[in-house]
Amino acid sequence: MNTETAHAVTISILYTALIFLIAWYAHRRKEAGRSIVSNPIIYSLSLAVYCTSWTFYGSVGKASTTGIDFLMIYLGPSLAAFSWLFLLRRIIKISKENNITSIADFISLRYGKSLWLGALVTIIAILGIMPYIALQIKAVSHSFYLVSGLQINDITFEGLGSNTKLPIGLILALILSVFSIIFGARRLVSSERHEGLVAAVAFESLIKLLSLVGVGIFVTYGLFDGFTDIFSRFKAFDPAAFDRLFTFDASNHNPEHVPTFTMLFLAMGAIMLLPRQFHVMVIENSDEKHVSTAMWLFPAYLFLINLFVMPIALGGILTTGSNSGADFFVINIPLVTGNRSIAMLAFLGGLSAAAGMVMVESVAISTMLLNHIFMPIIVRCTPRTWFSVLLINLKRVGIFLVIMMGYVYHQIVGDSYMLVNMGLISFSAAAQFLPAMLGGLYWRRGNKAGAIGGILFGSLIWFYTLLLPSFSKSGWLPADLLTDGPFGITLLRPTALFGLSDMDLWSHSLFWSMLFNISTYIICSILLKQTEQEREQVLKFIVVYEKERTSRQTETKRLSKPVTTSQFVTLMTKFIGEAEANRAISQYTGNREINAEGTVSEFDLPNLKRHTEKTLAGSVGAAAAGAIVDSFLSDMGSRMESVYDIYSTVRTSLDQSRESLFVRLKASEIINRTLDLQIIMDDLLNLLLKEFNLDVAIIQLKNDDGTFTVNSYQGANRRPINVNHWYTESKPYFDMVYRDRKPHLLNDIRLASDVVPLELTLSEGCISCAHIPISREGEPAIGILSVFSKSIAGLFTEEFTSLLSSLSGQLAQAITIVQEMRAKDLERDQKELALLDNARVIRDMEIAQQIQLSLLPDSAPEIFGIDLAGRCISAAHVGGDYYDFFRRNEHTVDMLIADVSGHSVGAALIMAEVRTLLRAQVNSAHSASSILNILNGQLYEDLTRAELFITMFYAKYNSASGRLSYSNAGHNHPMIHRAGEVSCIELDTEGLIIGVKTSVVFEERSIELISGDVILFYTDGLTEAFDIEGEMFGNSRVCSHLGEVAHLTAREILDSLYDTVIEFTGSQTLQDDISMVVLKIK
Amino acid sequence: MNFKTEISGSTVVVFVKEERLDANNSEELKSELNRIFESGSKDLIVDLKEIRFIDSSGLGVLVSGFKNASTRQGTIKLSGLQTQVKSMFELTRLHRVFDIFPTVDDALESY
Repeated sequence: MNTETAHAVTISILYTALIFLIAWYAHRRKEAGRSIVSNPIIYSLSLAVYCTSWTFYGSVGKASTTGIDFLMIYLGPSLAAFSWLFLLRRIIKISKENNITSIADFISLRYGKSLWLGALVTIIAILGIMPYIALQIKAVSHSFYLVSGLQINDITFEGLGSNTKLPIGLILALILSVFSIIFGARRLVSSERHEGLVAAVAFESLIKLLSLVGVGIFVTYGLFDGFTDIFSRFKAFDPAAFDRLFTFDASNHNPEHVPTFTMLFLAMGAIMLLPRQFHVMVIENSDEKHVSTAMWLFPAYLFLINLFVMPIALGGILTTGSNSGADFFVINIPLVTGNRSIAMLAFLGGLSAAAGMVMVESVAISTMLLNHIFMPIIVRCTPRTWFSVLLINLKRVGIFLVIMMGYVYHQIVGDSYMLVNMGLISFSAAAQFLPAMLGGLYWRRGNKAGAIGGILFGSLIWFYTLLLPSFSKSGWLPADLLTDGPFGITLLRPTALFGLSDMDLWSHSLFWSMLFNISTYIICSILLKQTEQEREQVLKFIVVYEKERTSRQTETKRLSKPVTTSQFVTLMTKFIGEAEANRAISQYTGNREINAEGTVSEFDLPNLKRHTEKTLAGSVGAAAAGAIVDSFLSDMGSRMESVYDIYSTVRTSLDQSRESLFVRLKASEIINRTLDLQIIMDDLLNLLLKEFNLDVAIIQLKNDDGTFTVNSYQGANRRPINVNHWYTESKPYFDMVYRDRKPHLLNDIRLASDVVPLELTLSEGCISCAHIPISREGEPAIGILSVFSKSIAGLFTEEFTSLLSSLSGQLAQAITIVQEMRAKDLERDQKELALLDNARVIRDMEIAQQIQLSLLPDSAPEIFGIDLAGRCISAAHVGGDYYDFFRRNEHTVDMLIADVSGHSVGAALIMAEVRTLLRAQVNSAHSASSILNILNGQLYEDLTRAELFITMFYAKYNSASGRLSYSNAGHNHPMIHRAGEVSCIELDTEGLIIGVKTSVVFEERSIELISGDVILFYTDGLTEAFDIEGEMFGNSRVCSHLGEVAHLTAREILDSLYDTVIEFTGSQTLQDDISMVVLKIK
Repeated sequence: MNFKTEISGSTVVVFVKEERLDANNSEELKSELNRIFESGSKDLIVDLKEIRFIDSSGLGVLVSGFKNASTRQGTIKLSGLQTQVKSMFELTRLHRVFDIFPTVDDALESY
C-alpha cells in the first residue's frame, strides 16, 4: 500500500469509527430514555438519506452533460413535500396504529393483509433497489480509487498466508453489511425505531452537505472568482454548451436523455415510495409533529446541497477540458488542482451519502424480505422455541443478501450507465407502488385484486422495458433483443413497446407501466368485490379519517373455543422472545378484567387476539402475524366465528339491520300511541323482551329526592319490588350510569362479580346485563333502563347497545314531554286556584266594604235651622271609620264621628259593634260625656282582646238653644268656621281614647253657635293625606278651605273638601278612609 | 322593621330605628314587645327618638304594650317623642297614660 492509500484507508476507518460512536451514543441515550434523535431537525436530516452518492457525484455529472435538468430530481420531492401535511401524516398515523414495519407491510395490510401482495411488493422492491445499491458501491469504490491513487481493482492482503485478493467494491459491501446489521438488526422488533441508525444517517447527511458545499466553495471561490466568473468563463469557452446546459429539454436527440416531466414525476413518487424513504419517514418517525418542520427544512436542505452543483460542473469542464468523467468532478477537481485535503473531504461526503443509503435501504428491504418472503413459509411450520433466534439471524442474512445483490448488479452492469440513470431505474420501480398506495388511502373501493394486478403488470412492464435493457446494454443479454424484439417480433421491442418508438427510454417505460398499473388497479377494483377482511382494513385506512369515528371497532367475531392469555404468551415468545412477549401481554392486561386462571372474558378474547397480532406484526409484518395467529388457533381447535351466528335478532353490521329498524319503528309507535307513561314503558319493555330474547327489563326513574323508583318491571322473577329484590344489587351500576350518562354493560356477570357482588342476580340465572341511561342528548339522565339476559353472555355488542341507547333517548323524550305537560297543567291549576282565592277574598272584602258603608247613615236627619251632611270615602279596604246621627227630638240631634285604629276586618267589626251599642241607647237621655263613659266601659274588654282602640268625638246640638255640647275621646278636633274670622275654633275636651283604661273621666263642654257657623267633624284620613312630596294636608288647609266654601250647602262643602284633598294627593286612591260630617247653622 | 333591644339592669330598652311607625311595620314592634314581656321583663322603655310619624296602628301597638305591662304590674315608658308624635299623644290624651321622658337616660333614672 502506498502512503496515499494508507491515508485514505486510515481516514475512512477513523470516520467509520466516528459514525459508529455517534450511533452507539444515540442508542445509549435512547436506552436511558433521553432520546437525542427525537427532534424535527434530526428527522429532516434523516430524510436527506434521499441524497445518496447519486446526488453527491451524479448530479454534477448530470449537470455537466445535460445541464440544469438534474434539478428535477430535487424539485420533485420539494413539491411533494406540500402533500406531507395530509398524506404523510395519515400514513404515519396508520402505521403507528398498526405497527407497520415497511412499505410492503403497509400496502399488504391495506388490502386485507394479503400475503401475496406483501411478497410482490418485496420482490419488486428488491429488484428495483439493486441498481441503486450498485450505484452506491460503484460510486464509493470509484472515488476510493481516485483518492487513494490505486489503479487496480483489488487490494492484496499479504498477511493472510496466501495472497488473498479482494475487490475494493466487495470489501466495501461487506463493511456496509456489518454496519447495517449492527444498527438495523439488533432486535427483531422492526416496527421499533432504530435510533442509532437514524443518528448515524442524520450525521452523514450533515457531513455530505458540508462536504459538497465545501467543495463548491473551493471551486467557486478558490479556483475561480465566484459564480459570475465561472459562468462567464464557461460561456466564453463553449457558448453552445452553455446554452444547452441552461435550457430544459434542450437535448432531445440523446436517447439517454430524461425529459423534465418524467424525471419530476419519478422523483415525486420516489421520495415517499422508496423503501428507505418510507422507513426513515414513517417507521423511524418519533412524532407526527416533526413532519411540519421537515416540510420546509428538507426542501431547504435540497436547495443548499444543489447550490454549488452547477458551478462545480462548469468548473470541472473548464478545469479538465471536457465532460468525460464528470460524475467524479467533485473529487477530481481538487485532485487535479492538487488539493488532496479537499479531495479527502469530498470522498468522505460521498462515502457518507452512500453508506447512509445502503444501511437504511438494506435494513428496510431485509425487514420486508423477512416478513413477506421468509415468514409466510415459516408460519407453516409449527412454532418452536428457537424461532426467535432464527428470525433475527434471517434478518441479518437478509441485509447481507440485499447488499450483495447490489454488488452483483454492479459487477454485471458496471460502467454502462451513468450514476443518475441507474438511480432512475430504481425510481421507476418504486413508482409502481403509487396507485395502490394513494388509492389505498383515499379510494374505498380499491381492492386486493386491483392492487396485486396493478403492481404486477406495472412492474412486469418496468422489468421488460427498463431492467432488461440495462442488462442487455452491458452485454449480458444479446443486444438484438433491443433492436429486433424477442423472437424477432418488433412490436414487442422492450424500448419501443407496441410500436411506441418516438419516446425516450424512461418516459416510454413510465408510460406503459403506469398505463397498465393504473388501469388494472381501477378495473379490478370496480369489477371485483372486496372480502370481509379487506373491508375491515378499509375502515382502518379510510373510514376512520373520513368519519372521525373514535369508537372502537365493532365486535363481529368470537372465538369458538376460549384460549388463555398464557397460551398467547407462549405463542408470542416463540417469535419475539419471552421478555417481549411478557411486556406485550402486561401492556394489554393493564386495564382489563382478568380472573385468577388468566382467562379473559370470552368477549375480550378477540381483542386479545388482535393485540397479539399487532404485537407480532411489529416483528413479522401484519400479514404474517395474522397467518401465525390463525394457524395457532386452528391448532388449538378454535376458530373465529361470526357473532351473527349466535343469535339471530341483532345483526352486528355497521349498517342498521332490518331488525333494528323494525324495533325502532315499533318503539316509535308505542311512544306516539298514548300519553300514558305507564303504558309506554310497559309496552316498550315487553317489546325489548320479545325481540331480543331478554329475560328481565326494568325502567327506573329518578325522583326529586335523588332516589330511584321502579316504574316498570317486565319479564321473569316478578316478586314484590322492595329493597330485598335482587335487582338492587346493581345499585352501584345505576349510580355510575346515572352519573356518567353512559351505558354500562356486563357481558358476563360472572367475571364482573369481583367488583360489585351480584350473587343474587347470578342465582336468578342472569348472566349478562346492560344499564342504559334514559336521557336526552346533552341533558342529565332522568332514569335508567336495565335489561338482563339469562341465556346469552356477550349479548351487548356495540350495535345492540347503541340501539338500546337510542330507544332510551326516545323514551326520555316521551317522559320529558309528559312530565312537562303535567307540570304545565299543575301550574295552570294552581294559578287558577290562586286567582279564584284572590277573587273570592276581594269579593268578600268588597261585600264587607259595602256592608260597612251601608252601616253609615244614608242621609242626615232634617232639623229646623241646620244643614247637616256626612260622607265617608273608603280607601281600598275595609276600615274603622264611623259617623252617625241620632235625632233625639225636633230640636236636638246627636252626631258623632269615630275611628277604630287599624284597617283590619277587626276594626270594621268593632265599628259595627260601636254602632249597635250606640243605637241601643238612642232613647235614653245621656250627655255626650256619659255616653263616651258607657261606651268605654262596654268596649274595654273587646278592644283589649282585639288590641285596638277607638277615638270618638260625640256632640249634641239643640237648635232651640243654639248650643252644641260635646265630649272628646282623643279624636281629631272638629273645626268651626265662623263668618268674618280667619282661624277656626277647634273643639276639644279632656278625656282619653276608648279602650285604654277601664275608667276614664270624660269632660263635657258646650259652645253657642251662631248663624253661618260651619262645623266640620273629620277623621285623620283628611288631615293626614299626603301629597307626592310627603307633605300632609294639615289642619290649616282644611280651615282655610272651609272659609272659602262656607257659603255652600253642607253637602257641597263635603264634596268640595273631598275634591281638594284628591287634588292635593295627586292620586285617585286614598291611603286611608276619609269621613267628614258638616253641620251648618242656617 | 329596624330596632335594637338593650337590657339595662331590670329594664329593657327598645330603640325603634324607623322614621314611621304605622300599619306597615307596627306588627313587628308588637311581636318584639310581646317577646320581651314573655321573657319575664316587666319594665320597658320604648325610645321613639327617630320616629317622625305615628298613626293609629302605631299607637295601638303602644297601647296594647301598655295594657300588657299593666296586667303584669309592669310599666312601659316612652322617650324622645318628636313634635308630631307628641301632638298625636296629646290629641289622644295618651300622654297622660304613658310616662314620657325627653331621653332614655331620663326614663332610666325615673326607676
